[in-house]
Amino acid sequence: MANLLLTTRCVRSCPYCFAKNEMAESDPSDILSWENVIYVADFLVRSNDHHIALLGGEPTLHPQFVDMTLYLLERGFHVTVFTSGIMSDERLEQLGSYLSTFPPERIQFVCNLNNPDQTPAPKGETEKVFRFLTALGPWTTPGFNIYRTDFSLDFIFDYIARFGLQGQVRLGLSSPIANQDNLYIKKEDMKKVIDRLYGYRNRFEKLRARPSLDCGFPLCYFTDEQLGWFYRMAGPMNFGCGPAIDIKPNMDVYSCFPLSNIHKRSLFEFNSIQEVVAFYLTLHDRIRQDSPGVFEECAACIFRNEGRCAGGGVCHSIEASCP
Amino acid sequence: MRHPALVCPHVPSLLEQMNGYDIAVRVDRLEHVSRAAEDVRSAGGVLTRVILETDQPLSTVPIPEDWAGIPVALFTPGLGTYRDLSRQIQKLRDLKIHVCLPAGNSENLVSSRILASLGVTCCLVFDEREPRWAALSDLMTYAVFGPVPHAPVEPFHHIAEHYSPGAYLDWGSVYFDDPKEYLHLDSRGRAALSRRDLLSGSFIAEHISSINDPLENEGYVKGLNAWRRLFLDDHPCILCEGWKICLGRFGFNGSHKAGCSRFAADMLSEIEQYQSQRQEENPEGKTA
Repeated sequence: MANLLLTTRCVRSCPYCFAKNEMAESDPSDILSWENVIYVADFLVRSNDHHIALLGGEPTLHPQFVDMTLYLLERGFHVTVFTSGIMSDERLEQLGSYLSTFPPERIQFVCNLNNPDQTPAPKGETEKVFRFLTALGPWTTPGFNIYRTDFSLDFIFDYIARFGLQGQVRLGLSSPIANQDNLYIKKEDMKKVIDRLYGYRNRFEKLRARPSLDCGFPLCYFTDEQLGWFYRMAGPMNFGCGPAIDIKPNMDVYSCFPLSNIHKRSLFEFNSIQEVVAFYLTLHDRIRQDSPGVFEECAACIFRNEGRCAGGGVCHSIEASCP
Repeated sequence: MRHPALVCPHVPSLLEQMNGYDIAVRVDRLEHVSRAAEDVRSAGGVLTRVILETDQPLSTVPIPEDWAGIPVALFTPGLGTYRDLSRQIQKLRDLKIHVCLPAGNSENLVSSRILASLGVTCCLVFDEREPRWAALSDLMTYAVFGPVPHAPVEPFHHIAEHYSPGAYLDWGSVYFDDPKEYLHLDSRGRAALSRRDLLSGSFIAEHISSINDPLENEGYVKGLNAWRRLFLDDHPCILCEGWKICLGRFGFNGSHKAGCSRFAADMLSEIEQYQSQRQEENPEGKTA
């Protein structure tokens, strides 16, 4: 699955944003054209990949967000939209009228939620998010980026129950941006984060909600008991860090947001998504040669050598190797 | 020679005289499409196309189910919003409707690509407005070399399939504008070489029944060779690299533009590349 950025404009300014570097350097008038939507759709079809994620910035800011999403659905894609849920009433009405006619198996929203107490938002923003969740709750998976060790998930469980959200919580570790500053979880704090997450197990169980871990979590920081619980709740876990493949409106492509300022290429240089992935896997391997993982022990770790753990995200490796 | 098909207005008394002819019938209202098709068939004509011209954007044209089995060419000024059109895409595809859009509107170059990528045949109509040549060139490349199967974008598909290095190619038939393929009748049965001639009252016969063999009609033969006039007039188009596949068609309004010349030359080059690739893939010209 590739991530396609419809626009680099965003309605929020999150302190942990690992896309901020990319957003700041982009021309705000650079929005995805129809020609490029069709190019990407053809590119993915030719690659036999029928899943696409729409990102931003805030993708719903694109004036033709609904039209382009409908187009991709017509082309047979399963579409995942990563959104803040903050949008105009008119746009929300369009989403309700046109997109909610498709089942959640075809279109899904991942709503990146900030805890209103810990990451205060401008007045009115939370109400906007509530309106979105009210309209599209059954299509929506809550997403949460962890950037502080005292994070609280209580509000998410409340939202799941209140808005009928999908029973899965997508949990991301806020990542360092290569050569830039942002708030993120330091490697020495990862254990605290995992323990705190595990502390919410009763609430996950009560709602039958599945914790879904994004990249960057190191296997060795989980106890066997924790691993057992995560497995029981969510099935096999992935401690890898593969290229996500983000495609900008101008068809620039890079491995993922945190690595956006390293080895940016153009999608036009590749013939298939498999070629893009192979290119960035090679790049990851090169980075890993210099810095095998976030911890010194990663170099000799059998789980890393067997490919069952990436030793944290590559972005953490770059950060670890920086003086 | 095979008698050209006749493009007729939907006038039942006229259609009744067209037994045995290939007929494209022209209507100006959506609700007349089915009836026009029925009238052609019941009069013993062979229906090749119902031509509907509307000033509504495609997304607002309510396409009825009873068009099943009727080959419709729908001339519309534009697509409208995709979100409204999206509910009709399946119908456009299933009914094999050809959507004809003016090339002078840049949005239609994008619209054609959208439609073709979704399996809807479309056709760009060159009118008095100059198209954005660079965008048209991109679309032509997509139409000829698009990496995944898509519906034809005319006239590029026709040109790619019919171009022969040793001959000139007239692709006006994709718009019913080639006297080898189509003659145009008015409601009295008078015959003209083109829609433009019809509207300007320039006829080659007072009634189509007087044309048994078109090649015996002086006006017809003259019309077939109309492009030669450009040589006699020393028109700049005759020196254009893309002449073989343009014949002055892109030099609309009798003018010759740098943009159209470059475009036609690019197109010729890409079509030759396309045919050469096809030849390499299938050296004996075998068909499936």
